[in-house]
Amino acid sequence: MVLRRDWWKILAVLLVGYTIVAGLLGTVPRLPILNESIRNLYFHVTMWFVMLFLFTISVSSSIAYLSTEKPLWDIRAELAVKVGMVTATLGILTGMIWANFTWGKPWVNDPKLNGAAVSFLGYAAYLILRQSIDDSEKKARIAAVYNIFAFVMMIVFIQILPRLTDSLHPGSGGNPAFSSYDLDKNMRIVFYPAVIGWFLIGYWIYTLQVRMRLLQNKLNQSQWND
Amino acid sequence: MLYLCRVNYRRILALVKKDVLLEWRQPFQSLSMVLYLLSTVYIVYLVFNAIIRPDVWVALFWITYLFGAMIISSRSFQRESGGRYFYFYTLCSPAELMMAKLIFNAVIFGLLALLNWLLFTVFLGNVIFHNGIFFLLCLLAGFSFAGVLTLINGISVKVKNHPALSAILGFPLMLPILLVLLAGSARAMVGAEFSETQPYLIALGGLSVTTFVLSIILFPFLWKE
Repeated sequence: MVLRRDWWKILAVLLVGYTIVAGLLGTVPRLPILNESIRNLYFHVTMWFVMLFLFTISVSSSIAYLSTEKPLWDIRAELAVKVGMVTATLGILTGMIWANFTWGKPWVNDPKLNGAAVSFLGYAAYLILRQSIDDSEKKARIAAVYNIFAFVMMIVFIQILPRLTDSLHPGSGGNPAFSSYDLDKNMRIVFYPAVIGWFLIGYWIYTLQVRMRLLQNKLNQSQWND
Repeated sequence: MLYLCRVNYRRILALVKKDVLLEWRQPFQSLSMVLYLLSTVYIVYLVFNAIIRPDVWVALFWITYLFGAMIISSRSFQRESGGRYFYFYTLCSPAELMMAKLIFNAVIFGLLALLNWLLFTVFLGNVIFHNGIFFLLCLLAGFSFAGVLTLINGISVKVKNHPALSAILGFPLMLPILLVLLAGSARAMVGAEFSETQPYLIALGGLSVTTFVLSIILFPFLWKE
């Protein structure tokens, strides 16, 4: 029974375990400048994918909240952002370590990095906004409005700006990127499982957070009744 | 979505007219804005006058404008908050109120950019080569800033108008607009062909339309107790 319900959690652990072992030991193409740091693809890029996935969950929960006004959707929206912020922080840190070795400094003025900064600052502001309202129904409504606005601006920003300016980041402006290692079979067999594995891990942490919050709410309520 | 069909355009015009009239009768707010720009540009002139370069000019221009727009937007819903909020609630739908505010703010912000340009020209000289393109950029800046800041101010009024909050909420969302403006005006400054600046103008237009539509859709959820 556990297998039928929780097979994806086992799969997540297996895939991420495989990513860590095969990602650090597997063969990678020898590209100039990137060298061994190319392995960051399995950890840095996947973190951003998971962040976008969780923010998408959050924004759909916010839309659901505005149309149904059920508090559960608000809890989902908030916790998806919180878990997404953790992966965003990890994405920024792995990126900065990588950039320090490849570009010589941890932060450069680059459309991709500005996109990262916008999403990080915007969602940090979302969490601050939630803290500054006491009334929970009002908090949920206002935060949902800001969430939708910020998400659309973030997507527009990530989509429009890199097309307008040159970027140092792999994947734009003629820099080697995943598309150019697409032919590399050795990297693909690690990268695709890594994406799925990290997605599942991110989603798992998020569901655990939601369950914990619901239990906490129940506990608070029962204490109130006693 | 249905409420968009029920929008009465005469009511929107009446709301815009009310704002313009109030601005005319109590001009201290627009005058304080002019004074803000004047003193900021004068400080910029004193500090940078010996070391100004065209690209620094452009950067300072948009920074001055960013903070000016931030300050002037903080009064967007001032007259509709508190007890008067209930009065407006009976008069018009939230979408109508938002549209009126967006139109009013877009015009005010556009004028603000032009005034800023005038002051920069007086004190630091005009470094822009293609004045026509820069004029368009100023107008579009007004539209896109109005799209972001009006809704942000609607939020911060609901959160008892904590002044730092609208900056925290607004800056991340204005960063994309600011970057497009900087890149576009750098090209207008060096005298690049219109075809080279065109993508930036289109991007700004797209950003304005997106923020306007989002504000009008989302505002009704904000505007209820």
